[in-house]
Amino acid sequence: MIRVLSLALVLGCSGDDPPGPSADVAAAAPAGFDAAVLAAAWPVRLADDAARAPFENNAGWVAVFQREYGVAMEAFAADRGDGRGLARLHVEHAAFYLEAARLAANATRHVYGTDRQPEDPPSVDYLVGVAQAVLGDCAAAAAALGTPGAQSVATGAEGRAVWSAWASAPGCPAPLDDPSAARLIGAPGAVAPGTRPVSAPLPHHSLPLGADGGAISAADPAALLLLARWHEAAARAVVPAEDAPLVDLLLAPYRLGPAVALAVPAEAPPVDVAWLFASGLLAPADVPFLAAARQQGVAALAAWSGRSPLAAALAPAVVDGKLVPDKVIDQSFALGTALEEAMAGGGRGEQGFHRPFADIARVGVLRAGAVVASAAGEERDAGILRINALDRSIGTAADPVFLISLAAWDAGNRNPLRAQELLHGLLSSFPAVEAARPPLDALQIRLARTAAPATAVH
Amino acid sequence: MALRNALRSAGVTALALAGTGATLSYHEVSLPTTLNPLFAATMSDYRSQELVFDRLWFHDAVTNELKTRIVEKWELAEGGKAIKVTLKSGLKWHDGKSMSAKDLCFTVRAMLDKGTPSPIAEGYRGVLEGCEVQGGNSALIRFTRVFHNPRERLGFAILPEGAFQSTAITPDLDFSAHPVGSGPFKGSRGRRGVVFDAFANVHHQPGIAQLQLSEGNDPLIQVKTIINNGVQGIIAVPPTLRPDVSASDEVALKSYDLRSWWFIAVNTNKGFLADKRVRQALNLMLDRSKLRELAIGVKPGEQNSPCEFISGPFVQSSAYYNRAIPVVERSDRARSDKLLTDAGLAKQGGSWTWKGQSINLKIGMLAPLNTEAPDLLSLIGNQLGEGGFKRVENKISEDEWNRQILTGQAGDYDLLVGKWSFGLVEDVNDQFHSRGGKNGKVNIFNYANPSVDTVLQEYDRARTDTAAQDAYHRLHATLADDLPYLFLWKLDTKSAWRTGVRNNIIAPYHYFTEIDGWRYDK
Repeated sequence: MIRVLSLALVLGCSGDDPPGPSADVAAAAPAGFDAAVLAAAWPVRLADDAARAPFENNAGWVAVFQREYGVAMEAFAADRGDGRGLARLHVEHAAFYLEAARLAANATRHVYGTDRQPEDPPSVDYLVGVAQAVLGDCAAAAAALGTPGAQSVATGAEGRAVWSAWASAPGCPAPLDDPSAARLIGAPGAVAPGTRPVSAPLPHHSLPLGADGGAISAADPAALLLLARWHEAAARAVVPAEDAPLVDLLLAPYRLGPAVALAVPAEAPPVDVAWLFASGLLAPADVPFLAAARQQGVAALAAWSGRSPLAAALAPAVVDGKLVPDKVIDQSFALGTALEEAMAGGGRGEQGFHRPFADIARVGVLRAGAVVASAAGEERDAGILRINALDRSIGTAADPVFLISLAAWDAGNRNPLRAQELLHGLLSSFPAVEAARPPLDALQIRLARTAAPATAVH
Repeated sequence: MALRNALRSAGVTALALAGTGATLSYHEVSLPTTLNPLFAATMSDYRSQELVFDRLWFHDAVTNELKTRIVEKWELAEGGKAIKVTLKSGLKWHDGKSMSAKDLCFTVRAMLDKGTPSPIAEGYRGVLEGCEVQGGNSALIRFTRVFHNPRERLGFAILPEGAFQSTAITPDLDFSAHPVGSGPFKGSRGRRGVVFDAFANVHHQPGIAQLQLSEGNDPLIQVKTIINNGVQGIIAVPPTLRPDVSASDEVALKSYDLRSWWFIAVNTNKGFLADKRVRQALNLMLDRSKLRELAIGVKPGEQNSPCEFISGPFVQSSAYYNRAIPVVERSDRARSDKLLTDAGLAKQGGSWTWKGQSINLKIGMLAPLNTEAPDLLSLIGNQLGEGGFKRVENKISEDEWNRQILTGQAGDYDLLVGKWSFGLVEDVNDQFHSRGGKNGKVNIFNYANPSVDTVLQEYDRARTDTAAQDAYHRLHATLADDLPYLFLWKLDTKSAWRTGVRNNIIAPYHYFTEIDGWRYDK
């Protein structure tokens, strides 16, 4: 059953609004931010009742805002409208499962690579090989898949053939072609926009432990990648023609494998507000800004701070050519405040949805800061900003794509506990991500059993 | 000579200037019971000790990278069964004496000394074999076997040899209240709080001059106090008050990664409670959903709440949690009553009796838990009362909990409400193995079940991760049936710090690992 909720009710607007517009309305932008840059941000654009109404009165968009993605998918499937909502939802699912694939692959590489134990059966080479392929490391994938251990995995025969061929093909890493993908465990079947496929039941592989008895119950590291491909195809099937290039731009940050330099548009492309609503991308210019930031780091700020709200927020946080995390935190707050003031401007006064909108923007700044810091090689600072973004990701500001990407980052750092909590919290919204659990659980057990002694306390 | 003196003077000045920043006050869940890292019994102990001592190796709070502040260089020796560690020069203890390799070997020997009754040391006795001081501030630490990750096994805090008479270290020494460490702060425990004064060192330059720890009492007052800047931090904010903190622009909620779960331990050695059916009845008498709603503020059906029910001795996100074992969210009085009747209890005048005697349950709760879950003890008591049990309820001080309850001397009680906190290692053998020798060290009511002992021993002996996971899954199933504990929930911990406290990275479990970088802009 599709629940149709007024966004106003969801945000608790009714009954909480002040009696009328504030008497003193500032026409100028709050200090530190250009009025035009703020005006381009979706929170300000949607502060207008008429502009916000299509979202407020649409069950799909209400569900997107509430991060109820299953409900949103049903709603958009029932009423596709211009297709943007459904396309965006599939793009977000694609991004989500790309990060989930990264999480699973990172965990697998550590458990059976960095932290491999003598008791591990040789067949784990298959898992390592596929994980390496998922992460785009052709040579490592080929090496692992070529071992007798990998070849002993009966359930992995097709996977080994597909990935070995992929790894040895000229131009590797290249996207997996459809016929190859269809041969793999967990292949979701025909693309059907408006639905959410599930992965093959777990475990995908059972790797006997030999003399020790028992077996490792494993998920195929490529299963989540296949879900991502499916959702991307679904997005392309429904996206309006004029928005098609956006699919590539929006998914570029999540692509697995070596980073591919995208041609960054010199100007902000036309981006319908439907792609921005409730996201950390505040304005059209934020899309090319982040693409540029991934390649140029801090250097991208100067070119975009006059157009991109995220760049405008980050630029003052640079000291001696380096982004300073504490200043980014201050700027995230400042932008949120500026947006709230701008939303209240024009005689509208303060309303209940302003704070949730601003909180999403604040998290967006922190995430963007992490992108810039990471591109500059400042991984620790990027991590600090990610953790601060997590702290601020409460309620409607909790973007599942960010949360799973943080879990993937943790897995890459051999830090399973927070990753497990994040994954566990996402299962109700994305049941198919269960396939990421086995490798993450394996990482937790492996690290715990080889850690320094510890005792429980109260 | 003049230049050397000038440089030395500049160094002293630099050291003296460190920590000339502000004072931070914060509320802890409880005062630490000890500042001696060998005897940490509470999370408050661990957090406080992290300020005072250096661990040989630790994990970076952000990137999880393995790091050290005191080791200059290291190399494997003796085919990997030993590691030669060279300490940095110029490291000072809080009493001004220099740290040397002798202190490192002293610490190892103290942990190996059977006269040191430390559960932490007990764990290291399976890892370390000995330590030998070598020249040039180096020590050779020997392991019991070759480990693929030797540095990861050396997470213990270094102690000063000069502060002890022998390697047999007991918890009652003055060192527990007035420790000598090498960490960024010098700590001194008083009756009402702990003061930590910054101590600059070659490896520590704390940006805060002083930390003042006090025990937080009424959580509402704690939150009002931080909003009014009466304190700058609260370690654990109860869920009911987190929206108040979030709404303030001057205070921020911060995640603190810790695995904590709550329980009601049952005295399986006491009369009618020895009957499993009675324990199962009590389990069904509880309405966990109502308890959670009233004590924690989580409404039924709320998604992704900070408080999630459990059916066994692990959190649901853990690899060891057996997801086939359902939680009991709501009470089932009919089933509960039938179990009690089958077990031979009878209701007289609305209250349960056993062998003709009226039952009066004595229920205790670790007192600091009331901050995170206000009134939980009375809520549990009320539900058991509605189920027909007379009861008396007590809050138990931390001191009594450590000295009496955890040492298996709680026989006077029928039920005890408590909490366990874990980091990466979720070993529960000490909680459920029958007490004796190295086993069952915190087995509250001296629960003894041979099949549980067998499973725990299988876990200990497991050669593979799969076998370890299988063993703990079976343990979960067994304990969910036998119920030495009524398992309640896991509860996330969130701290609150004023936004003027800058760069305040909170380390998983140990909390203050990155305290050197904290600053306070008032």
